[in-house]
Amino acid sequence: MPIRPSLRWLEEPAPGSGIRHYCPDGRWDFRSYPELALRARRAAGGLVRAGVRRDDRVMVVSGATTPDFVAAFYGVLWAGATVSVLAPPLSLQGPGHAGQVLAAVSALEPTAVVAGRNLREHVVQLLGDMLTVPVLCPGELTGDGDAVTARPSAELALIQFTSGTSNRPKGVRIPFDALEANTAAIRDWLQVGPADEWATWLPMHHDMGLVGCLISPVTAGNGLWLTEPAQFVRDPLPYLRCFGAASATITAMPGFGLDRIIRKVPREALGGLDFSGWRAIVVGAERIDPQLLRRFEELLAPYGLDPAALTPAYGLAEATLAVTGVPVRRRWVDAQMPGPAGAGAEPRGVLGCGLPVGDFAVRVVDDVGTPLPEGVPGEVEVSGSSLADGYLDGPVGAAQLREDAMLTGDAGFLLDGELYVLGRLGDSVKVRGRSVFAEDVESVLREAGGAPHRLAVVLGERAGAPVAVVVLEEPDQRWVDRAVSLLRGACAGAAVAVLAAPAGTIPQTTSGKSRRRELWHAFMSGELGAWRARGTSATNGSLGFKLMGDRIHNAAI
Amino acid sequence: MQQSEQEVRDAIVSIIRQVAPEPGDYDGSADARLVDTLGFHSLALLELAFAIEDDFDLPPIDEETGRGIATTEDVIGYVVRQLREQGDPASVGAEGPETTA
Repeated sequence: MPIRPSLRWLEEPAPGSGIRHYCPDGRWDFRSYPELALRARRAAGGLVRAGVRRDDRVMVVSGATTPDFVAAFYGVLWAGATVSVLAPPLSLQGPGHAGQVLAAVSALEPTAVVAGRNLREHVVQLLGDMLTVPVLCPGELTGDGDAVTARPSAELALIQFTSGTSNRPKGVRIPFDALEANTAAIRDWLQVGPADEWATWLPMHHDMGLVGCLISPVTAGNGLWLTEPAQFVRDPLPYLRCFGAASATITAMPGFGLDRIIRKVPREALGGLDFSGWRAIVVGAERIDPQLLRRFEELLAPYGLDPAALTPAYGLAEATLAVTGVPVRRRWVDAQMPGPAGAGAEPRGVLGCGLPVGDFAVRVVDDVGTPLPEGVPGEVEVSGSSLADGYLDGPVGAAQLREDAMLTGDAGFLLDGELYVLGRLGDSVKVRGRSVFAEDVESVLREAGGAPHRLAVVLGERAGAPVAVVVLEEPDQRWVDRAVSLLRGACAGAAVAVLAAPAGTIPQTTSGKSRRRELWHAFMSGELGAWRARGTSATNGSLGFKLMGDRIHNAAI
Repeated sequence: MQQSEQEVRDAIVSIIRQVAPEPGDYDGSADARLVDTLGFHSLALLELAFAIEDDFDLPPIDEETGRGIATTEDVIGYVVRQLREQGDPASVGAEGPETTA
C-alpha cells in the first residue's frame, strides 16, 4: 500500500534531525524524528483501540505544541482518520471558547477528542451531554506500539476551522492531495533544502502554524524549533535567537509578531547576534503595513538581516495555505495608492504579496467573472490543485468554492503579475473583531421602511479601517438621517458614509452579492475618493451618485 | 505603593486601549467585551494578560479564572481582588466605587 508523501517520514524518519521544544527553564528539549515517528505510530495504535476507523474525524484541542501534540496529530493521520485542531481556551477570552468548541463538535461529529492533560477536564465539562465519544489524553495513546502499520489514508487530511470570532465555524475540508500540493509548493517557493531549519511560535490551530510551520518542515525532514505562543508574546528573544545565535533559516508569522519583536526585544539583547543566515520570514495572515516591514528591517539590518528575507505572502485556509508569495532573494515591493481624501492625506503603500506558488493561477475579475487588466481592482479568484474541496456544510460566507476556481471575497489587483490585496470585498467587514454582513445591515434598513430596490449596503476596508457605505436612491433628508443613525448602530466602530443616487442607478441584479461588488468596485477604484475630494455636491461620472458630504462621519475612509 | 481603585481602573483602561487590536473610539466603558467589542484575538489576549501581570505584579492568571473574564469590568474586578488578596489591604484604597464583579 503506497504511503502518502506527507506521512512517509513516519516510516523513514530522517535520522539526526528533529524538533526542539523551548522549555520554561530556558532549555531546548530535542526529540528526533525517529522518536517522534515511533510515538505517532503508537498514538495511532491507541486511537484504533479507542474505536477510530478509517475516514473518522478526530478533534485535537491543542494546548502546547509539545512532542505529545505532534505524536497525537500524526497518530490520527497514520490511523487513517482526518484531524482537526482546535484552539485551547485562553485567559480573558470569556465564554467564547465554549461556543467555538460546541459549534465545532456539532459540525465535525468526531469519533474521539484528544486533549492535553490540563485541558481534558475542561473539554469534558464543556461537552456535557454532547459527550458521546472518548476524550483521550495524548499520553494514553500508546496502543499496539510499533505494530500498527499505516492504514489507507483518509480522503481528507485536515478540517481547518477558519479563524474568526463568530461562533459559526467554517470547517474547510482539505484532502491529502491538496495538503501535499501546497506543502510542495511552499517548499519550491522557499527553495527549502535539507540544511534548512525552521522556527515558529505560531499556534497550531491556525493554518499558518499547522501547515506552514509544522507539516512543511516535518514532511521535508527539516529541523524545527518550537516556542509556545505565550512564550513568544511574553518574551520573543528565545525565538529570535534561533536565527541570530542558532541555525534556523525559515519562519512565518502575522504582522503582530514583527511588531511584538520591535516593541519587546531590548536593543542590548541584539548585540552579538548574526541574522545573515535568516533566509525567509514569511509575513501574511492579515493586511500588513509596509511601514512595519521597514521598521523590522531597521531593527535587524545592523545585525546582518538581509532585506530580501522578508517575504510577504497571501493565503487562505480554503487554499490549504499559501497562494502567492514574494520570490526568495527578491526584496518586497509596495504600490502607492491614492490616499484617503481630505486634508493632509498621504498616499498609502499597499504591499505586494508576490507571485502564485505551485500550480496556482490568480486572476482579478469583475462581478461577472471577466478578468480585469493589470492595475484595476476587482475580486481575487484563485485556482489550483491545493484548493479545499468545500466546507463541512457547503459554502458559507463570502468565499465561494467552485469546482475549478474560488472567488475569495478579497479585493485586490495585479501589477507585473504580482498580487496586491486591498481587503474584503463589499459583502462583509470585520468591525472590532466581529463580522458584519451587508445583507444583515440591508435588512435593518428595510425593516425601518427602506424600499429594497432603492438601497444597497457595501462594507469593506479602506486604509485598513472598516467602512460601511449605504447608497440610497432619491432619499429625502429624513430618510438620510435615519439611515445614518441605523448604519452607525449596526456598524459601530466603522466609518460610515451615506451616498444619494438618482433613481435607477443601483445595479439591479438577481444577486445582492454581485450588485454590492459592482458598487464596491466603484468605491475601491477611487471614484468615490475623487468625489469626496471635490466636495459635497460633486457627481460621479460613471454612476451618477451624489455624495452627501456632510454625512461622512470619519475622515479615515 | 498604595493605589486607589480609581487609579487601578484608569491604569487597566489605559492598558486595554494600548493592547486592543481595534480600540476604535473606545471610551473606557466597563462593559466593553474584550473579544466582541475590542477585537482581541488570541495573541492580543495573551499580551493583555501579561501586561496586567507585569504592571500589577500579579501571579499568572489561572485558566479557570481567565475563562470567567470577558469584559473590562471583569478585568478590573479581578485585579482589585488580587491586590486585596495579596495581603496588603492598603494596596487598594477604599476610595472610588466598590467593585463586586
